[in-house]
Amino acid sequence: MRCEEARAEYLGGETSEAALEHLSSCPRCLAHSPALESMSRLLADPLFWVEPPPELEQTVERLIDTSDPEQVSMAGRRWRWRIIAAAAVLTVAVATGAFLSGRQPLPDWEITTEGIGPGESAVAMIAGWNEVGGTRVVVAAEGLASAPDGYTYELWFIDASSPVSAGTFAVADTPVELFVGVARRDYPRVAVTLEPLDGDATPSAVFVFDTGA
Amino acid sequence: MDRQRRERFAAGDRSALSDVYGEFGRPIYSLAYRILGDHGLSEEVVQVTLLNAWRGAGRFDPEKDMAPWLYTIARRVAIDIYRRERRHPVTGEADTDIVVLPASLDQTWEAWQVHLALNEITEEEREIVRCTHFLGMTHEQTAEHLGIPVGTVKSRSHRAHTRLARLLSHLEEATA
Repeated sequence: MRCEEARAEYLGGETSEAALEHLSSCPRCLAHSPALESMSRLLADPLFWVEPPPELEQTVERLIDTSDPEQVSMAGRRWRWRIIAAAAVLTVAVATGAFLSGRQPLPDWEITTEGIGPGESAVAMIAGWNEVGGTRVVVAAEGLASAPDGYTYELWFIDASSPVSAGTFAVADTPVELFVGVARRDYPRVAVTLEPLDGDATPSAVFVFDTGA
Repeated sequence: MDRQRRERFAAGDRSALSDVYGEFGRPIYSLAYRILGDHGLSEEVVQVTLLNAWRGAGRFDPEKDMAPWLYTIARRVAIDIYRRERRHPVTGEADTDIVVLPASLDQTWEAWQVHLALNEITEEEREIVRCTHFLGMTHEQTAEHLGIPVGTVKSRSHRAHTRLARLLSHLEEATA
């Protein structure tokens, strides 16, 4: 039996007697044994098989198209300015939250996230305080357009299977304080959608901020 | 990636970008997820890595293999984001400038190599490999799952694993 055949059988997980004999006696295959073991282990590792979302390629292309080599450094500066601006807004938001609740102004967690879709040119900073019965949240957004007539923005906490609304808000009201009856550790994904005012209790398909799964 | 495409990328030819994504998008994402364990952050790693690579394309030597160059950029980006996230955790831990890097970092080069090896087999063969290793299916179960004859599963599996075994040897020699 040839080395390659024996190694292929081993990797394929259906090793014949002849292949086993070869692998245990061939000096070259013995030298390759750790690599084979390692490859086999990696292939069985669920982490190895995570797949990027199909739309990621377009996102990368858009990012590069809007930041050609000569403009990238400027884009980077703009991005940093947006973050700085958003950070300033959040400072106000945090202070507001603290004022409203009388608590120390240190959130238990905070997220800075860039907008997507209609919110592409926006940045949001979302801060949360873990409380009994849920999470108090302050949302600050920079560069987000007002929702069109008949629409509103809605903040969602999402776990693997279900979204929970933290409430709706208008851009003019931000920084805005909301409350959701779940904990971030159980609902790690936080998103903002543009919602038609139709009373539907599930998120629309139009996400403007999304921290991902 | 062949030399012609590397040259196009180094020259800033925009059309070379989708080739680079096609070959390295998955490995970068997987590397990032291994370090960060978060899909959103892994997407960010892919974006920043390819943006940085694009910005630095003029400094890339097309005579050389692109894989180690991109791996270095991706790993750096993932570590930076890991540190950023650990300094601002969602769990309410105290902020700190000292961030212990995850043990999973050690396996990233190995996993990167195996991903590159998987790039060399067809999507059909890749699916068989995924069913065998990730889902733990037998050839018969794979055949039923994919709706193809057992004989086809066996021949694709043999071809895929032979190629993987051969490519792994090459990769080992190349990095020895």
